[in-house]
Amino acid sequence: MRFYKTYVQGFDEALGGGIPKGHVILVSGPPGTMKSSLAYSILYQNAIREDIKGAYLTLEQSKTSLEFQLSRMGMDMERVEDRVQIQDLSRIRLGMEELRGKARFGTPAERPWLDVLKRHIEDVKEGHPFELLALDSLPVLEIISGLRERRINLFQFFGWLKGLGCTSFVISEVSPDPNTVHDEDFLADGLLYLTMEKVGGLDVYRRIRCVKMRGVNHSTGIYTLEFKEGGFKVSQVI
Amino acid sequence: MRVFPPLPPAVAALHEAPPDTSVHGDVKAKRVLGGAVALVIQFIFGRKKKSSSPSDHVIPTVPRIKMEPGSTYLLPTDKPDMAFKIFTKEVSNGASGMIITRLHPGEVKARFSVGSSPIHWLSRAFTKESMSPTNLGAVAEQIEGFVSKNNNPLVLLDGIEYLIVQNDLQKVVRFISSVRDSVALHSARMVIPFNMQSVDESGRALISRDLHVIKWND
Repeated sequence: MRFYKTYVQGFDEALGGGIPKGHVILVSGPPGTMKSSLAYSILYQNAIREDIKGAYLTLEQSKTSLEFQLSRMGMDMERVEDRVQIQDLSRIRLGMEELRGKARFGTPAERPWLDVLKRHIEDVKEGHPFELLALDSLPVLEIISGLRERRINLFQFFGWLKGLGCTSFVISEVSPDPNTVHDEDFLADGLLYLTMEKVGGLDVYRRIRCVKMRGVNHSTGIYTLEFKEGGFKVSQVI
Repeated sequence: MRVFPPLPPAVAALHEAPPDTSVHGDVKAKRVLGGAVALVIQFIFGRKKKSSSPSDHVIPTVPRIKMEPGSTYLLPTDKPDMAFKIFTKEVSNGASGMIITRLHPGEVKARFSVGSSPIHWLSRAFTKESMSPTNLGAVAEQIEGFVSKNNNPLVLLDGIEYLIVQNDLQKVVRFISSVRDSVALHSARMVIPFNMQSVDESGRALISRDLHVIKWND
């Protein structure tokens, strides 16, 4: 079984070596927890260190905005442009939203969106055979594709992702309530949960926890997640 | 808990062998004898010296301790100076040292001969050398990283009082316990200066429980 490292310093050990090939991983957390940056970083580091191809599909943030954010973090996109493709679908989404505004839920006007997206990803994979895929984000996908029977539709979509033969990172927003369980938590093979915690009354730290990772004997502990000197790293929480 | 009583300076001069305060029988015997001689010397010369220079104050000498690999030592003191003196002495004898301190690195370099030992500043300031006092996990990893990668490693961990203020006592006790384990695991050595008056009796008991407390005249 092939494993992909996250190249988050200290975290691959906690994951028991990395993420198994073919898994669909949910990267969940409230806003500001660096979900997108973490997902891109995994693709970026695998491209640099392992020469692995990746694709990053953004449905919400524009490519320009994303590239600005990542370059400010010290990631040089030109260095990996032949290996990591950023697909900006935010404009297509805007067009679809306009179209959907004129239609009712469940009508043919909104349904094709998910099919369009799937076909687009398949086309990208044909020209750029990626092993790692990041999809940013699930809530936007849900809104624009109008998933009526959420669990069934997500089950089908996750099944389709697995069928692609790549390892996928699906970014998802979660409610601040840690006790809320979502359908996708059950459907995904792995769940990385990011959060923020107030410490000592004045400081706030990002935390990361591998809630589940099928087929891997991983740590379920909570770690502090930091981005320092061009890379992510974790440290134990005391 | 091992206790290392300091030898009076006059006694130290009587020893021919290099200083070693490992608590062995022959050393103990020497100490008893030496202590008696020192008392006599002090009785004869002490008063005279006092009367000739009443403004003189006692400059504490570096406690003569043998720091065993794998051990963490708590130095009761209200200022970290003596811990720095112990540290610089050990570094000059070949130890690979790292300092984590509340003092600004510039001040440390100006006051103590720490050589090229890395200095990490416990501070909320945003500088390259600063470490957040509330990110105890990162501080622990810094120590773990250092003791696991260097030969004859020695860590000076100053600023425990500050960490208690910024976090809470329980967390700091857990932190000390964690770094003590790293030190033991890698046969390193660590000195922690600490003002015992900064916590109550139960706090003192918690902090000193698994550490070798150095007894000396502050």
